[in-house]
Amino acid sequence: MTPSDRVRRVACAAAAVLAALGPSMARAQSIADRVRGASGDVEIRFAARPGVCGDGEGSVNFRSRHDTGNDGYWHCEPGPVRVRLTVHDGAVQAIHTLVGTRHRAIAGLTDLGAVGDRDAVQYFLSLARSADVPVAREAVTPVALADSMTVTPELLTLATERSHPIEVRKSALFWAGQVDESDVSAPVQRIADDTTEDRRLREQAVFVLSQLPDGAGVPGLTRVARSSAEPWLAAKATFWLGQIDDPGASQTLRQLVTDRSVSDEVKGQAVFVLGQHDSQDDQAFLRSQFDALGTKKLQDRVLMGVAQHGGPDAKAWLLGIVTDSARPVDVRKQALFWAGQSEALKTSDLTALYDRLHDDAMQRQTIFVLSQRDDSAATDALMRIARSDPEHDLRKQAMFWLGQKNDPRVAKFLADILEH
Amino acid sequence: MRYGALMAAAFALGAGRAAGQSLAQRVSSAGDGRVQLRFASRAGVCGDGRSTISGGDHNFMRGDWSSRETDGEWRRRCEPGPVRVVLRTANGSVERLSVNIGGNDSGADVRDLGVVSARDAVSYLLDLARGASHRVGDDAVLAAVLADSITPWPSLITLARNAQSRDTRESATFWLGQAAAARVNGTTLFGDHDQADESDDEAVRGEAIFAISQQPRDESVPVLIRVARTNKDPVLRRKALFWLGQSGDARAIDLFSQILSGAER
Repeated sequence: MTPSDRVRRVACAAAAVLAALGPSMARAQSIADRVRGASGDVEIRFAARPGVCGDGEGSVNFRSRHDTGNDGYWHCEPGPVRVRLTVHDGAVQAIHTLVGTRHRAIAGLTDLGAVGDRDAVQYFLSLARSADVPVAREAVTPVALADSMTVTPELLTLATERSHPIEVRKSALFWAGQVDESDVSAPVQRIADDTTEDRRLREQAVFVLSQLPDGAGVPGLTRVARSSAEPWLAAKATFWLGQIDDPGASQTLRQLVTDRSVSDEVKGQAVFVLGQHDSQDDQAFLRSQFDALGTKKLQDRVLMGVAQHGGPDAKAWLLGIVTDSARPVDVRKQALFWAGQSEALKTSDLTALYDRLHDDAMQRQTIFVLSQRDDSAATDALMRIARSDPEHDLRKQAMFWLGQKNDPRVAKFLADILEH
Repeated sequence: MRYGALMAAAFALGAGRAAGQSLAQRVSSAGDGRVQLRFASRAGVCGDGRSTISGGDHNFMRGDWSSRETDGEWRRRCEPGPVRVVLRTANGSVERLSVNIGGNDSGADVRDLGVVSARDAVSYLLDLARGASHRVGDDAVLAAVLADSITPWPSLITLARNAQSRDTRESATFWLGQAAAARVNGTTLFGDHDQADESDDEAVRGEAIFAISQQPRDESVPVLIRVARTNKDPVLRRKALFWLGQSGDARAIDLFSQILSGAER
């Protein structure tokens, strides 16, 4: 039996026990009545949906029904869901949802015991629809964690009802994407597309598409990124596409970079997320597109991504740009800046570069880049320039940056310059 | 002899204290509100009466300085004196103090004490600075430095060491550094300094002075003191004294005290 199987068996057993207990208690008195009659902190428990587990202290893991095998969460307890409510004058003031049996005892906590999961869902849905924002928003979570209920329709309804606070609607939409009961990509995409809808909910819809299992949201995200008339939404979709490990998503991102009809906002986002990818192909693609990109801002994003990725190809390419005197100085300086901020160039590369560069602006930029490094070799290089560069303005600049260094050798060096 | 002169100056300030106290009494008896007084200004300073004071290398801008103003226009409007101080008092204590040169505040709520002696003014202002909040102390030190024919350095040294507010101590230390730099360069505090072009080497060394001033004090102050005392280049000595004045370090105040003792220009 795998750890994952073990989790499921325990979950089923717990659910069976709780299901047997639940109806009799619910019949006697509703959860709402029992909570209303309490005061202070109270707790109720109910069975957790398969795939849900927690450490009892606040960490909850929610796995897709499609996940199999050892996923690293086998030690995570599969239930029950424990909801702590703070009640004053019959009204719920706060909700805190936990999963698992391990927890620290709370003085004065009233244990209302186990309740039926269906009753729990109805109760918390009611709270989500009627309570003030903090409680209403938190009430959505136990709805999503409860066992034996299909809640997606209720969550989607809650998300689309405009009378509810946006925080509650966003939470409902998030959990509709997480519970994995059915393919919700179509209704979520409709929310993303609805230009009359609250912008915050539409952003959440784009995020939820990116979180759907098995890449179910990728077609929708791709469509929004490619063809939304609203660049801000297309840019959000592009960002989330970039977070998905999917060859199709990468292909879409590349097309966005090369398509001349795509706005700079979207293109910039595509360049940014491709730059964060570890893929050698994506890196090579960005380098190949550098000269075709129309603006310095887009080029700057390529430089940043390539420099942060590092490696021999990145180093050679960046050095090529830095030393190419046919290119605009601003571009060369940015290439040097990003190379210096990353590990793409070592300090020894920078010092060698300084000696190769003969134009003032690039030498100044090299001094600045050296000044931003913490290693002692960079301080050595600055001291060498400050003492012996033929150009006194460059010596002055190196001196200035040496003053900002926290290196005991600097004061001695400067004293030597001043006193000898 | 220099020490003797210093003592004489200190006595002179002390003797003026009674008059200074009477100025304090006059300010106090004016009641809450704004009190204006004037006194003679040091040679080399001027102001537009409202926002700017200029003196030698120094320009103090406050209020609505207009960058569109040409230097020539500014020079024409820059009055050489007197120093004009407006104090705002509440519940018997000074809460704000503004310093100008020239001009007049003719507001209905202003009690004008007229022209007072520079000696009385300096005595009163430095007394005020000793226990004042940073805003009042800072401006009181400036007003005292602008006063004509007075040697405020001995009192400023005390203030640099003992004033209640750190900002006031730093302000006093700054002016001591300026005075010490003028002294070692054979110039006056607000006189025109020699603006001869620096050589490339001097410019690099000047940058080195700044660079070392940015290092931890235990590293920088001894070097700056050595440069201020022994370097052959007066420009470098002046720069070293400037940055020592910015350091607020007790060793810098000791140096200023030694440089300024018995001699004032």
